[in-house]
Amino acid sequence: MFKEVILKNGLTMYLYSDKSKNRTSAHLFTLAGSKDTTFYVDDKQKKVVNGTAHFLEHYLVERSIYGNSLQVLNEDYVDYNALTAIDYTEFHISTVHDFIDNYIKLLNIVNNVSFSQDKVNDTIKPIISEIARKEDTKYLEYNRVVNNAIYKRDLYDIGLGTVKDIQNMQYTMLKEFYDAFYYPSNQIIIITGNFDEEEIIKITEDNYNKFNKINKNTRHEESNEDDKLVSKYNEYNKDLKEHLFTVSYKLNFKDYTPEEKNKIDFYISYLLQSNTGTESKLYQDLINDKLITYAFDCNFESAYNKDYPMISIYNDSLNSDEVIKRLTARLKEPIFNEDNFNRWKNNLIIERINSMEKIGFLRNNFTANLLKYNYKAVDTLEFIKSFNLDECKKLLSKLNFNDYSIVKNIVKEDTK
Amino acid sequence: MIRNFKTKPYIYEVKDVNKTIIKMNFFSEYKREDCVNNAILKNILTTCSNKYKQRSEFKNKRKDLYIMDYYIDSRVYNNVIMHTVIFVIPKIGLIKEFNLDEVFKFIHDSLYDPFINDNSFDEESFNIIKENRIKDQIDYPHSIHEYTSDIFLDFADEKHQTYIHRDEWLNALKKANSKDLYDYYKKVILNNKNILTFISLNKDDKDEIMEKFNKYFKNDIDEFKLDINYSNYIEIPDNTKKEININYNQCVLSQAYTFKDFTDDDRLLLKTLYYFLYSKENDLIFKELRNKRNLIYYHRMSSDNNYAIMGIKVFFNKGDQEEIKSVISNVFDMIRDENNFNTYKANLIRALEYDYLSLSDNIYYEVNTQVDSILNPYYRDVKTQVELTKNITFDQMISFLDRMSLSKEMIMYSKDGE
Repeated sequence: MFKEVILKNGLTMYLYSDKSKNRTSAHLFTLAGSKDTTFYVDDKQKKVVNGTAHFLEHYLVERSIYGNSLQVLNEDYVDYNALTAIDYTEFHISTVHDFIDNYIKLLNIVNNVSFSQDKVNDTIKPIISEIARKEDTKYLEYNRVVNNAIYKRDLYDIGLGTVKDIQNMQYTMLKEFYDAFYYPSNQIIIITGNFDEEEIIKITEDNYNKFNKINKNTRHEESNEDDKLVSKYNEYNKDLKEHLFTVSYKLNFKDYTPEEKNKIDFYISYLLQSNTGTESKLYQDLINDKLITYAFDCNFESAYNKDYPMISIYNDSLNSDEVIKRLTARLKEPIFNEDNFNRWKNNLIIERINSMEKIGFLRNNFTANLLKYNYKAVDTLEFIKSFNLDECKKLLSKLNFNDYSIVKNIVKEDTK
Repeated sequence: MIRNFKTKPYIYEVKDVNKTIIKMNFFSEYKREDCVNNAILKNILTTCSNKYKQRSEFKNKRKDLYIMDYYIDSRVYNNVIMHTVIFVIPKIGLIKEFNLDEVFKFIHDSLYDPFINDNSFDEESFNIIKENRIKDQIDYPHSIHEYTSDIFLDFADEKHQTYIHRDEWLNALKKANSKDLYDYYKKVILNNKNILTFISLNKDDKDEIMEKFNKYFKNDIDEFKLDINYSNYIEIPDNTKKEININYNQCVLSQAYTFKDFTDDDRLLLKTLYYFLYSKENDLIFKELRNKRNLIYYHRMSSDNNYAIMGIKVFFNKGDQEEIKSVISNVFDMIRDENNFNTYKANLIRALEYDYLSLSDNIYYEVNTQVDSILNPYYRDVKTQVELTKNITFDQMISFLDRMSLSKEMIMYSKDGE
């Protein structure tokens, strides 16, 4: 499946070649993202403003040695984009022609960079527009309250930064961030599709030699997050004209192996489906007692904090107190059942059969496992078939469902 | 357009596939007031049946049978609706507990033996779906895009020729009842023999699949004939402009372009113009507004060959509206330059050729192409599009642009805007 190659310069590559395809894709990750506003180079503390990682991503794309590389590559029929996540920044290309040439361009866009204040100033405007676009997202502020009840750090502002921070962005700050994190041993490249493994390794080595990049002694700031909730109850009463409540749990993933984390990710979906889903006893009882009208909306999110992922469960019941009481009691003592476990597993099996013909699925699955849990494998059909209820119960039993946080939006009749 | 269809299934053998995909297309007459029944029927038939009355029972049985996908899609061609029943099952032998006969019986029963009481669909099952649909409307709008699109559509298409307005939809939804739905069901599914079937499968499974298909779904008729209006080219004569304020942080400019005396031959020209403006190799609107001038962060475009209409929507910061309008207008002038036109056309041809390479990575590409060609006489596969595009002349494009007019334009100012 995916072959792991670590180059002499410390760069890690994962390669999956399928010469029956026309399309080839390369994903380049730098392991630094929007959470890295404080970091240490040679033990010296450095600070940048919120939004720096994202600004840098725009800068690298739009002010590259090719000019606006998004325009240049897209005009050449190359799918190309970039994104900034909490703890990594990704640049990727995908093309059916001249992959090697375009791959070299990708390496240059990310690694062959010069900084100037003029180029920084030219990058500001689209980011300001992006901030306005984010602010038009429904539930943005509500979800900020939900997240801030779980995590000590406000993760909603770190991504794009404020308009003021962006308008005052200095090239020195971008360069400092770039120099601290954009070096080979802090990067991962994943290539899938029609290519020759030996050729691509050589090309990668040759180009990195030209960049003359030196690995740095940079460390991320230690997270001060622990398994404690920030607050147990919040009322939200701003812009939403609908009843809504959220019950959130903070899970401790610290002591699991990468494979266990990946399995728990699946088992949590079983736990939520079988205990809160439309076929669960809880749901049926709440419907029969006319306490809820619609199903719970459940989310499991590990992107914000991999050691302490969160579960959030939303509903719009007018009888939120009673519903929360029953919901939290159920998750404290969940029901496990062999029949519905097997049914859930059957569903995963057919989903897997459905998607295993697609190379894009394999790549996305591998990448997600790698970046989320450092689990270096695809979830194969055999892996899914190995799931069993005893293991599920054992792994989930270590998670704490006794403590939870509640956020409520209560609508006053006159604002509805 | 008169169409003749055969009911004998089209069978496509696909190499190395792990599944069988069956698509049964039920054709029937369509009236605008059928919109709600159509939406509810698609849901109710695939979530319960006479044997599995509760949604949970039905869902569990579906999972127990390893049915990978089962849903009903629909497409309206003005006077005709096509309900497509789609079910996907694993390759035989991939899962040892898989029972092919039970799967076919389950699908058959859900279509032909639904949960009926006294010539009506079961009231409770019906109401769950109806209430869910009403709930969808309560949370409205879900995004700035949805909100501004609805406002603009209401302004641009006052007679609601191209879409069902939310109010019309809600009124029809409130009036919907399980008896009417049953009558609609009888017409479009139960008594409908106008079925066109496509099956794609692994060669090894062909005999067993066809045996079961013929056992459960054999049609009494060999062929059927339909008169289908594939197109309804509209003209919006007014050159009207409007400005409003909205409660969002972004300003929005929406424009609708229509074409005088649009004919079938113009379909290719509209598609080409749209590709010049919006596809990534040319992407003239984005290139001029964002890449060159940083006036916008993003934009959307749409074009509909069946109605002969094209839309542009850009999200921008306050104060930039006049420059944006001027740049868009200038983009159309750029296409009127013959050298530019030839460059854009060459870019497009190259892009379509690469498109073909990309699409052919999908193991179902050839099947999908053949199916689409049978379903829609206006469908052109990518290879054909390349050849047709090569033959488009500069004069044809100029004449087409001469018949284009900016029919409606709306500026929606953000809460901090002008």
